[in-house]
Amino acid sequence: MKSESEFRTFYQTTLEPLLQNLNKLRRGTRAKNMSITLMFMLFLVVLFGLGFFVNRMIYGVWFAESKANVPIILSVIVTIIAFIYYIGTIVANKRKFVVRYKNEIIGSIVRFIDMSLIYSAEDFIPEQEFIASRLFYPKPDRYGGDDFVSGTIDKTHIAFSEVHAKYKTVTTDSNGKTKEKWVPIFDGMFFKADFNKDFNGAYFVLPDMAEKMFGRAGKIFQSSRNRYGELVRLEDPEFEKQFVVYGSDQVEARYILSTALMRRLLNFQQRTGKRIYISFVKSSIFLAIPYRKQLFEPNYYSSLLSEDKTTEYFQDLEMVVGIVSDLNLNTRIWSKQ
Amino acid sequence: MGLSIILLIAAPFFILLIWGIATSNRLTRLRNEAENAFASVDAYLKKRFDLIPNLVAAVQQYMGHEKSVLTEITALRSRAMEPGLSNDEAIDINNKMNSALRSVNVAVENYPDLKSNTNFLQLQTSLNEVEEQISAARRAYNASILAFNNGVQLFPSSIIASMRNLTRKPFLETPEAERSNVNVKSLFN
Repeated sequence: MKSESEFRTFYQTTLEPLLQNLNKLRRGTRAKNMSITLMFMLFLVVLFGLGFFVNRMIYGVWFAESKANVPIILSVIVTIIAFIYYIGTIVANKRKFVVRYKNEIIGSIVRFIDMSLIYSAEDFIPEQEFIASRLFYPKPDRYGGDDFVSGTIDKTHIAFSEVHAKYKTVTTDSNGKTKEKWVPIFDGMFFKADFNKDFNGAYFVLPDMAEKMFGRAGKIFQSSRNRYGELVRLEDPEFEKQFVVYGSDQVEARYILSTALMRRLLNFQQRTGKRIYISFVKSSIFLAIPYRKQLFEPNYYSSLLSEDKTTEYFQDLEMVVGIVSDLNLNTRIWSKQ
Repeated sequence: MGLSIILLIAAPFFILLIWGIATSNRLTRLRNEAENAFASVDAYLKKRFDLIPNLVAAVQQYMGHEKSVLTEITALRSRAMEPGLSNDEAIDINNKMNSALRSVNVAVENYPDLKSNTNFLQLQTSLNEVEEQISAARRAYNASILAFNNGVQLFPSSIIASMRNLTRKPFLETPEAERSNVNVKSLFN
């Protein structure tokens, strides 16, 4: 575990020089994109000037109302093609900057947290893993993400990334018109780690909305069985207040959720103050933490030299990597090694 | 006219009867669930007792001074294998086994060869696992006992419970020795 003061030193020695370079690249990219925009506008002026000029030569007027105005139509077509090319170039330039920023800055922070971790800016947790966690329904129709981190911390293999999953609904209104709508399933950080005990069933630890709102009386809103499995009532009242547990077997659920792990999950939840969704499937633990904002995106329009921003990235990453020690996943005293 | 009055008087009794049957069935279900939960505690206890001969075999060639502990463990195991043990007896033997195994674990610290023996290490992880499973099963059992006892003691289902002579069942307590923290100092003496 790295402390924030260690990070401050790391910021000054490693990140700051990198950020200074990147800031130059950012300004350079903006300037380049600005000149591309100006050239594009100039091109449009010349193009349409030429169009109208040729039009006048053919038809004798700038714009003939009842004629085809072929040169002007050609100009419009060229404009559309040029516009697509223009947007593509601008976006690609910006993207180049973002990817370099992520690889250099986020990549360095990731390696600073643990040397064995590998960062990949454009990869994400595979969709099969997201589905295998069985935390969210229905199956996503559109799935993506970025900022993939993976590696092995001591004995525990971990992988996480930002994930965006959506599904499509089609509604038909009274006129028989169909409308497509994309509904978010999950946006945020999705984490998978190898769990330190072997088990067969599937178990789910979800935020307990009912008990948080109505106290103990909220228990009556918890159904004893749903698509996640059988309700498991655990003995830790504080844990029960924050979470509701479902699973396939009462004994195995308690084998996984030992009294110590319940405490650790509760501490993690209270320290981070986040709503967390956890599942235990096929000897792995999945953790999903919803975020409203995009994670680890650099600011394109203002200076990158901000220690607060990078510290925030560090804290977010450290929190996720820290799950391994927070949940004691490296304790391998059971038959799983 | 007469019929509807009879119906009006009979209806509450009828509802009461339905409720009585439902409550009685619920209590039976809770009791069966508790018994079933004990069966899984028992299954894990047996699983642990099955590992004991291997442990004794692995350990005895190394341990000279602690023969008495090993003899005790073997004796406890053969007692546990006797047919017709009551739940209380099974738990009692198990608690004694816990403390005997703990003294083996402490003694192992004196034998570096044993500590690096892969066979022994494997056994130790299996025993840890079974212990964790026993503890899980015990917690599951206690959760089902809690549900049953609530049914027996809380009004109004307590009326049906007393009519059926159902009384609260005891929890499986953790023995005092296990609750106290491990004395690290004693491990190094």
